Amino acid sequence: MPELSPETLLNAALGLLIVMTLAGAVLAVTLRKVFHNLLGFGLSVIGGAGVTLILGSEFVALMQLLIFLGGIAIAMVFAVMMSTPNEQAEEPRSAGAVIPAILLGLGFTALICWAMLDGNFPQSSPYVAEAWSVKNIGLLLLTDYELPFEAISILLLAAIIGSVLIARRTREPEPSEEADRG
Amino acid sequence: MSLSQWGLLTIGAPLVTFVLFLLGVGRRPTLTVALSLTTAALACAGTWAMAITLPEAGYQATTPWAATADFSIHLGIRLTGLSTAMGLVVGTIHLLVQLYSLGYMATDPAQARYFAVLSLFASAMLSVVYAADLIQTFIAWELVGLSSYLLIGFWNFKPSAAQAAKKAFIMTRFGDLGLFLGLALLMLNMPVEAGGARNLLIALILEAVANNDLAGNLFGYDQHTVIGLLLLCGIVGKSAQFPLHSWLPDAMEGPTPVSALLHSATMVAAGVYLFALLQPLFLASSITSTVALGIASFTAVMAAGVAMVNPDMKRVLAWSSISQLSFMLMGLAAGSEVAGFFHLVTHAGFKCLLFLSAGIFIHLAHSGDLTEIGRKVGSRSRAASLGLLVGAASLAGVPAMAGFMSKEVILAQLHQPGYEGFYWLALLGSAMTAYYATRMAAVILRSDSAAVSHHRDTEQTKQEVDHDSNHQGGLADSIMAMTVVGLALVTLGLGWLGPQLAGHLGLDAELVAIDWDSMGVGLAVTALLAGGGLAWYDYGRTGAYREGFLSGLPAIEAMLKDGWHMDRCWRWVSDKIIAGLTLSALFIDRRAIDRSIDGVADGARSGGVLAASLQSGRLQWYLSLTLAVLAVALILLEWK
Amino acid sequence: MSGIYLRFLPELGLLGLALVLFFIAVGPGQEADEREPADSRRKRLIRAAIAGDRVALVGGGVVLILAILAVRQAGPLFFGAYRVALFSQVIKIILAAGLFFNIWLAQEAQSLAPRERPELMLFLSLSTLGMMMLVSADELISFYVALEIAAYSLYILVPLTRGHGDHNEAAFKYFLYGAATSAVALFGMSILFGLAGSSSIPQIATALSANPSTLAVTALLLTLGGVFFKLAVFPFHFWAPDVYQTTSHSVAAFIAGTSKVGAVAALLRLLLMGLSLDQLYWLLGALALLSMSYGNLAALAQRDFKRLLAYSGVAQGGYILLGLAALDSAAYAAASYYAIAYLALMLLCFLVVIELGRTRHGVRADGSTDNSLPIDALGGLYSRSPWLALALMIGLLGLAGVPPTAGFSGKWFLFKAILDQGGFWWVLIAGINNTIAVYYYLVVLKAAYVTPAADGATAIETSLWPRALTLSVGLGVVVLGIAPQIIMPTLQAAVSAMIGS
Repeated sequence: MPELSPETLLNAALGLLIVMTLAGAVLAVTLRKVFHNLLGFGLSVIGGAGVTLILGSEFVALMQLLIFLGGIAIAMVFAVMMSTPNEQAEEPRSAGAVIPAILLGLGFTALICWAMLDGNFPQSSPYVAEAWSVKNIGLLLLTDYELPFEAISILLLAAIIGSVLIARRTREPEPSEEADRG
Repeated sequence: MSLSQWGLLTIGAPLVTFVLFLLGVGRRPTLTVALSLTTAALACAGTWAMAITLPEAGYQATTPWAATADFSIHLGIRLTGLSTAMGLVVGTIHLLVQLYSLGYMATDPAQARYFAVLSLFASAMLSVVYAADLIQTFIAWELVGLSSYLLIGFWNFKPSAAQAAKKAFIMTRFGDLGLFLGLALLMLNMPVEAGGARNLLIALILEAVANNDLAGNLFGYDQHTVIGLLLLCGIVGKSAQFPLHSWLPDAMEGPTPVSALLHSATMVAAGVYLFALLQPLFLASSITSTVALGIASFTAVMAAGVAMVNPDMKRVLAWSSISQLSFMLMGLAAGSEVAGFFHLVTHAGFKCLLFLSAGIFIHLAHSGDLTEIGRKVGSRSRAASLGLLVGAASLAGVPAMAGFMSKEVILAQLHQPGYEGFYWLALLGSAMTAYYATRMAAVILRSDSAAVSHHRDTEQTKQEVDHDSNHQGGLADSIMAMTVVGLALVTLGLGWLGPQLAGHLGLDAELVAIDWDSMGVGLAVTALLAGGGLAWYDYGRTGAYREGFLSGLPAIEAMLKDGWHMDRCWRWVSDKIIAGLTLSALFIDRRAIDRSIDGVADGARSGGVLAASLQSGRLQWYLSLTLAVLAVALILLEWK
Repeated sequence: MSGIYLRFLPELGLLGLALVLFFIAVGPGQEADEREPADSRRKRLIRAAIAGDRVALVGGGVVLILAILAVRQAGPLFFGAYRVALFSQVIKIILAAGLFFNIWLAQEAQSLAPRERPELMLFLSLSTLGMMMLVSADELISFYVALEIAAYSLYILVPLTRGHGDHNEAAFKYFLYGAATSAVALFGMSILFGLAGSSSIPQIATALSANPSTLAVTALLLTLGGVFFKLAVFPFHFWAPDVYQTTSHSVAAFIAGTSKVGAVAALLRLLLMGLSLDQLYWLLGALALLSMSYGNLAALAQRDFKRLLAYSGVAQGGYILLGLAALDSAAYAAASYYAIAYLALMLLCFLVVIELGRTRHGVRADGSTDNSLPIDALGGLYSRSPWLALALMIGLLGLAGVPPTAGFSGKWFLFKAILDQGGFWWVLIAGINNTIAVYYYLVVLKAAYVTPAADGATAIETSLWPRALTLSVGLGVVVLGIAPQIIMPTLQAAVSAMIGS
């Protein structure tokens, strides 16, 4: 049995993680129960974090696990458990709708992949491993990426007010709807 | 007053009426009518003043309007013999028609709107006539089309009128599309003026044509040819030539004075006027001038054929207008500078006279059907009968009448080596003209002598009659009668003004002189006698059958009555091609097409229903469609 | 130091306005109090709403002035992530003017509950802020975040219609559709980043021009897709008719006008990278022709005025896209000019929609307000209010490209610039489309001027505000049509400067 070089092992792990990411995504889309979809989403997120880790960016991998899995996925699980009745009768999907959709999706992906093969990406990105250190990311966020960093807070503010606003509409109805039309 | 002030007054005064109407004066009809008549008189005075005081060398006053680094547009007036003569015709007939409308529209509740739009038309039309820059011409040209739309659809409670208005607007817009493209290409190929900008001043275009500055290739053809053919599209649309002619007969849905002003005397002549204006450009390419001649001579015969059998007085006149416009174009396209334009002037007179007489007839008979008019009114209305006689004689080409004098000049121009085919077609057209003119006069004026034949009341005139039936009053009638008599007298003299017109255009009076001994005159008179005699035999003589000889050939007669099935062709195009295009673009929706009912516009609509139904699906459907289009784009990308 | 603040002045002003509006929206008067009588509570809410309206109007005016003051500013900001140049400043003035007029139109908007009017003003300002940042963003992530700020605000505004029908299908579709296109755009951006090794737009431009590839065009196309969604061109337009029809008139007016100017500016921003990719030329041209043909054919069949405006917007977007496809500075300037004209014309059309909306109180079966406006409801408009009829006439004739409106001069510039690039067949198809389009504009005009009013329809009392708006915008459209040289040279200079740098 030939000795496995670390490189081969790393590549194998990368392949496994990619398969995991894709499988999670497929589960998230195909399964009929919302809860199962969320599990698939979690799997996909873990896979993605692994890929980032292998590419040498520990901080981003950690953040992805923390935010997507620990934050978003869990919040969605709570939302699902609190809102919809879990065992809702699902209508079966019709093959007439599913098959063209699958073909279209695969075809589109294939086209993009084909184009990618043709593209010549620069051999090494200027961001080598140490560039992704926490310190560097912190510096970048306060220099080159200061504007998006600040602007995202406006975006988040808008999203928060918006969700409060829409939630309020469903809870407390308008006071005396007809009278104030003047 | 200086010439430029006169020009501003002439174009601006009627526009003031329209703007005031929009701003609310329209709520007071009497005020609007008074305003409209005053401004019409002012504009008419302006056209006369400009024609009389025109300096020998012409006059031009422009102000730069919109300018960018590489081109500029000017507003202004350009006075030449041609433009002042045309302005005279427009201004005078506009005033006459406004006077006549005082009587004709006296009881119409929407009187104010009528007079206001008529004023808008006058302003726009005069702007077409006097424009110094072709962009200004184009803008005014579109406004003329818009006011025509508003006036055809004036009795909008009639579905047929609304339909006809839309058809007219859209059909002429297709012609205008060619005009627009032609102007844009012309602009791009004009020599650069001082300052680095190009412009479309008419004087400069003519200069460029004369200096052969426009020579060059475009799409593999001579530049003159391509630009000329595109401009010709606009002329064909506006002057209702084949294949964009079928809107004009439908346009008779509008009030009769409108038909007189817009759809015979002035607006439809704008196409011919534009040809006269840019004649050197068209003549610079033999292909363009031959195409123009071909279209015109074909249209002349085709439209005259329909006029021979149509039962409705206004529609006969409309088909006759199409045919006469073709004669004008033939004269111009054959290279004569004055022939076509002279015919434009005389035609404006006698055709307007015929329409105004028709207005009185229809009003009295409560019908537009020729036989019906003959039975109910006949020669009892003196003024109208006089107008009809003078007008028809002129139209038919009785020697010494206006129509004869000007048509003879055209025929003489065509009677040259190289134009034989067109000449014989024109003669055939003349004979047919004589036939339908005689038929119209005979059926109306000689009806008492013959048995009453079956009549067909067309839907259109029934409703116009409804409008007229609540119309009584001596004053209104006498205004109308006086207008007609006055115009008849003018028309009688119009034919002898050829030398003066030629002089005004700066040309030799010899060009319009008629050689009475020539074979040409003999042939023309022969055509008149043949056509007129046949019609007299069919309709006029005591004991006539009062059936056209064509009733012996039912297939041909049916085809003529249907206007050579042209509308059917257009409907087929709109149904099959536009709907088909939509269908193939939107193959996703397999719902059957809602077959259209009438015309180009409705064909396009049935396509629209289909496009809209694409919308009914769900989100996934939208997204997959978006993705599919993107995928197609990617395939195209990678395949290249 | 002060110079740097000046460069960011309009944005800062908008941010300040948004903050003030935010405090009005969550202010002490807003919470429910069980003990308070319903009547007094209602009055209090209306007072707060009117205060918000007026503050927004004044603030919008101030932002407009700030934008005008900042027009001559130029230079980078935020470590090169933001670039202030003549082009971006001119567009910011237009956006500020659009916002100002939209706020003006939305004064005392009847199709929104009084309680939600401060939020309407707040999100209109935020969305405009997003668009302003979009025009200046010189870095992909900033570009994306700005795009999302502009979009999120609208996602929230669309369902805010009066009544308790919270089940708003169109709003939901709009949101999901937007999220999907935004994901596609993000994917495209990631490829661009990979190809260039940088997220700075100028560096991407350099890298792509040095090394053009099919993948670059693919990535660019996907990125542009995110903006096409906002411009609502085929095939990214599916949300538009439903959203226009169901959302409140004030929001529809904003989406139809100002938001599209923002989208055009963003497209220009991406294309002005100075790429010369032949394939892009064909793709954009084809999309443009498809968009105008589809939009016009679909508009022909509409019975609802707002849906008709939506489809006509799809077609108009096609004309603008055609100008962008010419990949030429004159055509870019023409497209910007056309977008400005389009904004003004849309304001006029929606002025009529909003004023008519005040007199209609349809309620749908599920209890929500019916915000649609059938063309028949325009019947007899001339007799009911000559002012509104005039506004409608200028607006529609402008859209139809009839002189002497800015719609005509815009089309003239556009078509001439494309012809100059040899696009004869493109212009021919566009011209045929324009001819078809005239039909449905005329149908609406006919209803307004000619069809008698429905029974029971009374005269519409237009107050001073809409009259002043009609006059100012209508006059603007005509003046711009008669004298395009007022802004055209500036636009040309702005575009050339962008290409040159």
